[in-house]
Amino acid sequence: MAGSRYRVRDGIVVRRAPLPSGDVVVTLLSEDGKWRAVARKGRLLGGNPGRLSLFHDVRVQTYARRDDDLAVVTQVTLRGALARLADPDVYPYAHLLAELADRLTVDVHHGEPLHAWLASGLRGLDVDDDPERVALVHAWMLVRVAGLAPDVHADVGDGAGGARFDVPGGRLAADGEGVALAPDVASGLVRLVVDRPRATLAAPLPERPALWRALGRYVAWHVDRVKSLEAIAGTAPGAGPDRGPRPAVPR
Amino acid sequence: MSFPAPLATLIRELGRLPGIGPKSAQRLAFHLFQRDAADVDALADALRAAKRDLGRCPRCAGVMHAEEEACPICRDPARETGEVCVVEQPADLLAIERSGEYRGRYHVLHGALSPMNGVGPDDVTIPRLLERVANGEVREAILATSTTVEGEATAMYLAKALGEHEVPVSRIAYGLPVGGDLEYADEVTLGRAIHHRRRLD
Repeated sequence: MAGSRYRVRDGIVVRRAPLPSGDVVVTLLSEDGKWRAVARKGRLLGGNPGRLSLFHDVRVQTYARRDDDLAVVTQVTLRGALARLADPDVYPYAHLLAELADRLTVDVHHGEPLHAWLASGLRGLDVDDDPERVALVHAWMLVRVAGLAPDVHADVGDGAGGARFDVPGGRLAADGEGVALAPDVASGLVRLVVDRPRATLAAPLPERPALWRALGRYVAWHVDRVKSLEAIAGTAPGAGPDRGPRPAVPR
Repeated sequence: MSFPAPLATLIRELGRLPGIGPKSAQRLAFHLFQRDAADVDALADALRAAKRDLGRCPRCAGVMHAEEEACPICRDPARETGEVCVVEQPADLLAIERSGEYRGRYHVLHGALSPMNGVGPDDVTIPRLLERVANGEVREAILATSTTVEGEATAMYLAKALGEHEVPVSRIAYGLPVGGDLEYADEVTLGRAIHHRRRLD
């Protein structure tokens, strides 16, 4: 109905900000972009608030009053919940994908592709035996579909001689300015930035600490500060060479 | 029309409190203006005293009088059961106390793990909890963090960490609120209630 103050949209909850008043401001990513709404008394147990948990895929009816910035949540239907995302082995990566999607949509509406890749990444984290690889591949995909992927020069080739990653310039090349990358790191980065995600997910992905650091530097420069990425990349020195950086989880 | 400076300052400061919008701040400011000076002094004294005299319990991180060695619950010998209930906030502790069902001690985390908000294990009182475990203070832990994703993740993290110390860990039960109709329950709560159902003896 044209002009209706009620609106129904589907979306994934990417951020929740509980307020001391008991309300919760939720940020959702939909196919048509990012939006926010306030769930009155959203901290109460059960009912609508329970469906507005982080990472839930929901259908939300909102009511927008004339002078209010934020629409009020009036009904919520759960479309999908991924229980494994609270697992400490997966949780930091789910935060990373949600926060990165949130940051990438601050200024520009990247609708359908970003929503689709966030949903794909969260579903992958829920079922895959290697959540770290899922997170790396999908984090780079979010950057790619936002139009911020680095320019990979053809002379990088298979990365046999290593490469230079010019973070401010957004360029990956065989020589020139930038951080020196070892051959394995360079080839991994090329695959993450250029290859189809399905192919990258199907193959081993070595040198993960270095790949996380590269992503961390790149996102910090070109997007914004992403706290969950800092937490993951920051643990790299203590991480094993195969599994790469892990969140500080007792194992 | 602009307010006199002292009134504008009062409205501005009240408006910084959580849950107080500009209109509420204005109403409260005019209310205080109309109260007796003694009442306003009492309020100001209470605010100062709360800030000056309250602190965190060195054992459980709950709220206590700053001049005492520990909070009343940690000082109570009747609660020397070895059971420690882990909660996110001091208000959660009070809620459990009101239930009257628990007579052990507590540990207040002052938050839940949330990487996107920059909150890791060292940003809450998890290291202090592990110290208590190492000191033999904790024989059983009851994880009473919120049932949000953040609370769940914190509970799972603690279950792993405490499990390494071979401390028995339990999680508060999931279920439906008392006194509600089933059809109005959300799917997640209902699903968990069915998953964690119990046999009737």
